[in-house]
Amino acid sequence: MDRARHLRNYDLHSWSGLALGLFVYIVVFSGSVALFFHEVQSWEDPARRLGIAEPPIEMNAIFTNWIDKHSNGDPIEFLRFTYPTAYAPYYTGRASIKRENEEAKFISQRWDTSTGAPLPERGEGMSRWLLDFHRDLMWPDFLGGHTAGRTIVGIVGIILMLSIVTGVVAHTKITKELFTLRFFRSIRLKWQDAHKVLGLWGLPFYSMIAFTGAILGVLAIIAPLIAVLTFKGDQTALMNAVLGEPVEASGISAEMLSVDDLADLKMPGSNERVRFITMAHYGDTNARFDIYFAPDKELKLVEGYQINGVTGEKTDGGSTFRTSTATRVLTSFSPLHFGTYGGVLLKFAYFILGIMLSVITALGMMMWVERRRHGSTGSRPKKVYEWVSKGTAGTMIGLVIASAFLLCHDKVYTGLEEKRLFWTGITFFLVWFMAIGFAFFRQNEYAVTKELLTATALLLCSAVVLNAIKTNDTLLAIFGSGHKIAAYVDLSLVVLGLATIAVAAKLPKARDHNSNSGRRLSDLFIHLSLKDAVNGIRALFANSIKPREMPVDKEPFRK
Amino acid sequence: MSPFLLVGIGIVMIALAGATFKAPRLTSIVIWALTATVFSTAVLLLYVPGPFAERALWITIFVPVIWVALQFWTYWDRVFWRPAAILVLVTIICGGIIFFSDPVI
Repeated sequence: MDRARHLRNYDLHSWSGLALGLFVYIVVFSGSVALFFHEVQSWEDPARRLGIAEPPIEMNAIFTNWIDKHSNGDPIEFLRFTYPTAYAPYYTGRASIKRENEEAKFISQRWDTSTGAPLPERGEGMSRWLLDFHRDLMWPDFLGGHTAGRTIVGIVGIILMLSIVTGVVAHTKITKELFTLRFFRSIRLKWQDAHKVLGLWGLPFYSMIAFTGAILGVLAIIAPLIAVLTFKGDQTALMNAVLGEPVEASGISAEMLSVDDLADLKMPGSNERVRFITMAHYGDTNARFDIYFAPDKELKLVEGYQINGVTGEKTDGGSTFRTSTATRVLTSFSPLHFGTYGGVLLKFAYFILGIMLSVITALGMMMWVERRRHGSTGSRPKKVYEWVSKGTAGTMIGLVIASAFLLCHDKVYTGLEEKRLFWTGITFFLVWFMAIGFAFFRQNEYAVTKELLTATALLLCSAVVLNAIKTNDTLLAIFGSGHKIAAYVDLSLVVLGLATIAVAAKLPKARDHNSNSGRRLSDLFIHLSLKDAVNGIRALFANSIKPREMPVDKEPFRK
Repeated sequence: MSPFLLVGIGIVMIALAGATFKAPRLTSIVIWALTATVFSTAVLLLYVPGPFAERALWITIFVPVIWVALQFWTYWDRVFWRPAAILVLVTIICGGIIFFSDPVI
């Protein structure tokens, strides 16, 4: 590769990382936390700690009464019945009812598996916020809502893919860089080596997560665009062409199959039981029930088939249930992205790799600022880079502390349940903005990082104490015979808190102003490469050790 | 079409042409790589043989790959104007094909 091309590629890598690095960091970090959506739900909601009755109570009469009471003869747009699982140990009914000249009304109900008694509704809170913040940044409706947010997150996936490709191309000595980590050299070299080592070792995972994330995100814009172009704007026609024509209601009432009988259905070739059923045209002779099972071995979130809601005969459910190579590939992206195919240990592996990717992004931005604030690169006044540095530190560590704060907020919230998500969001942004403000006020990004990380660790441990006070469930439940998921979340929070304190304790309080020199004898013994060490000794005697860096042009984009 | 809309489109086109002339690689990576991806995949969807649902799913899967490949190429090519010229040409040709094709219904 010639030098000009190498520099262009390097510039593209650094500028794509800089321009959207914060977005990438936000999406990646929130995604790492959102991996534990179901576990955190169990931790935040005491109703999810109930046991599942054996045998559970028959639900059909209760469910049909609930539908009749709420629909009152009005059309049901959407209906879903969910069976109990370890993460949600109760029956759930959800429906969307459309009254004439009114907006569709969404209703939801949970029932105890032993008595069939309705369980109190709990508003969506921290777990939902963290998951949706990762998926669509909780983008406000007046700016395009979830579709716009999801598109932006998809574009972040594209940028991450581009950064990965340009990053790999920029590394001409990959095998050497995989093992080069010079901890005691200049700050810049230390960060640069860590950026490369973490980036190269986790490369397959980052590539997968960027690609699947881009697909899941850009689908939101790609489908309408293709509709506009190939179907002359008819998006419904496009959906019908891909998913199949939906069946129309006949208008003739009929008795529906019992949800208790349907609970015994099995997926052919698998022992998994029914997880949930979505119902179209409920109460009509043309009712269609989509039966979903937990996946057995395939990389799928769910699998299933469609039946007639009156006769139980299998019907053609369109491409949703049709297995082709393309659908197999496409449906594998969600489980691959969210790590749902291999148990909680796989989620921890994803979490560690996700945090590594967040650190890589942070290091990339820190290097960019460091070169300009304390190096010869950069044409702007130092004050500009100082502000960028403070903003970056505040935004990055602010996101960490805001996420940790939500754990405590969830336990002390006493407002209306339907407003829980709203106040969760307000609290999240308030803490985040306060952290950014603190970064500017404190005038020392090293101290800011150290102090905010310490505060995060304290919040993580406080959440465990608050959980014990509010629900009487403690870490000791791990040794009991009852519900354990919440106790394992408690344990994880304590471990994470201690790890965060350890990291914060190791971080410097301020920048070491001598760290640019890189002329310490001890450095020579840190090199993992013998050749580097020999070169280091030669250079030391020649008094010319300089950080090994790529020259960067002052112009952002070369022609 | 409303004359105001036509004027608006005209202004946008002139601005795009100016920006492309001034910074061909930058406009290519931000705009033309995306337009070329969308229009070329739409043409593929129209003319590649096979069941429509299958084609649509495969093309959706390949959209991010094509998009990133084109973005990467804009800074890879030694000749600074070539990516912009080719991507604009692809957009125009594919746009023309789509405009004169019958809708897939």
